[in-house]
Amino acid sequence: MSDARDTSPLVLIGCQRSAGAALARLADEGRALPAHVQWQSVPCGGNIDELMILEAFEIGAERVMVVSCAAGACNSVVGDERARRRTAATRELLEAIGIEGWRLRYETMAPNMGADLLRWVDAFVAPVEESVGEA
Amino acid sequence: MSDPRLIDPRVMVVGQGEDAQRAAALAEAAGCAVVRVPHTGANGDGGASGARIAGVDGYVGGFSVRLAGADEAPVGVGAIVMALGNRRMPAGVDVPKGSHVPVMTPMAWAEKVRRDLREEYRVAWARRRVVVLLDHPSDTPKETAAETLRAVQDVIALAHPGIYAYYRNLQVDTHQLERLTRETREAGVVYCRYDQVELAFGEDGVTVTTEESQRLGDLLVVPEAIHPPVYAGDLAARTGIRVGGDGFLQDVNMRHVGAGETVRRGIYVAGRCHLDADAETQAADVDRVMAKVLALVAGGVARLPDEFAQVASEECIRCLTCIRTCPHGAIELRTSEEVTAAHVVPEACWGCGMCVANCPVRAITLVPAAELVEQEAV
Repeated sequence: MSDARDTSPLVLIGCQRSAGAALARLADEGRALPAHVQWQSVPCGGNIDELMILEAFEIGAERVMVVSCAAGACNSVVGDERARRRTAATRELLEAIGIEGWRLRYETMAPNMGADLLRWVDAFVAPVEESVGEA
Repeated sequence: MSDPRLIDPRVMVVGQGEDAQRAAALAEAAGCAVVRVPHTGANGDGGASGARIAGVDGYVGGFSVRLAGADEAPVGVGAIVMALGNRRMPAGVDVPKGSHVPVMTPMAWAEKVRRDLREEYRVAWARRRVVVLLDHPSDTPKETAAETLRAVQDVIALAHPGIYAYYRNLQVDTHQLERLTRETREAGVVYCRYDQVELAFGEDGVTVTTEESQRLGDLLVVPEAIHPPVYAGDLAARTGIRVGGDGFLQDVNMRHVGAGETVRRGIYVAGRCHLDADAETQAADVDRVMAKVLALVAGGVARLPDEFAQVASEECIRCLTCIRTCPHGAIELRTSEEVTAAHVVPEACWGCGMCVANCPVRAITLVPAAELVEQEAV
């Protein structure tokens, strides 16, 4: 089985209005992201593109998580939808060059879901089947 | 996001009609100081000092409004509500200058008869020959025809003049319209069908000539057409908001839930100047927009984006992708020094960066707000 507490480098790309606000709330409560997680804030999910995600892998990330606002809650109306589509397109690119698709994950959240964000980061590990195969 | 800025609690209401009065009353009831600007007449026409907006500087929560002709310092307000109303006027009839024949809309006519309803006028009204002209120059919608016939019924109940209703294409296929035409016909209204009609305005009145008849009327009633407020374009140009192709003030984006916000945050449009609907819906629209305004002011603070998008005009290939993509309607094509390129209007930009991600030549970047302010200063 894979290690449930994977501490390989993880880049978290998120909208400042949802993930950013959630992290600020967590900071008020004295909680923060684990040290192996690098936080990259964007003004809106619609600002995220393939290059930004690929650059995260280029700088050494083993996993990238893209987080935008919940559907319908985007301040710029369609930012969450664009982030979802861009992430899906980038996953296809990654798989085409031999990087497993699970290494890129997309989530939506509200600013009051900081605890969920921490849980997602913790649970962001290789799928069980692949880990068994690797072992 | 940037540090919060305090919002000026004053609200400016532009316009002088029913919508503006309603908006101002709501703001006052909520305890806001209201600055009223009628905005009558185009800039440069002269007129009362301070009656029109000459320009608006600043951002949401801290606008500085320059008033035309006013020597005094600009007025500071936190939010601006455009409630100019619309113009309702008789549709499609060119009345020659100097003509004494009154031309009215059905509602104005019914209102006038109601006002004049004293004995001496009752006889005068009963002697009048009124021509009601439908479908000129284009077909009258059924709702408008029904509204017109209801006004005819009102007038008949009050004064009973001779009424001739001209129509070209009155399809009586709804229960309401069938009842109205039957009842008015029974009450003495003469219905005349026409294909071509000619109107001649003379000393005695208006002569209506059709293929089958010629009739003289001394009052012409035509359904009304709704036009945008006359100075909407001027006001939009001076405040950085937009007018649509129909000349009415335009909301920022029809995809947004809750209309009334313009491309310039903190400036709202309310009521008839942006909405073609019945009176009840328009009043509800003013209420809804004012609820937004009051929520903004009551919030006390506004946050501006840290960054704004900026286009490198020499790299722009004018593909319009950013203009289509921008959810805030903040990008437009502009020509400056013979170079046509996309231009981001900072007052409308939320700094979401969607244009940055979608520009195929990467000609757009997000620049810190402070840097942009410096550029503007230069």
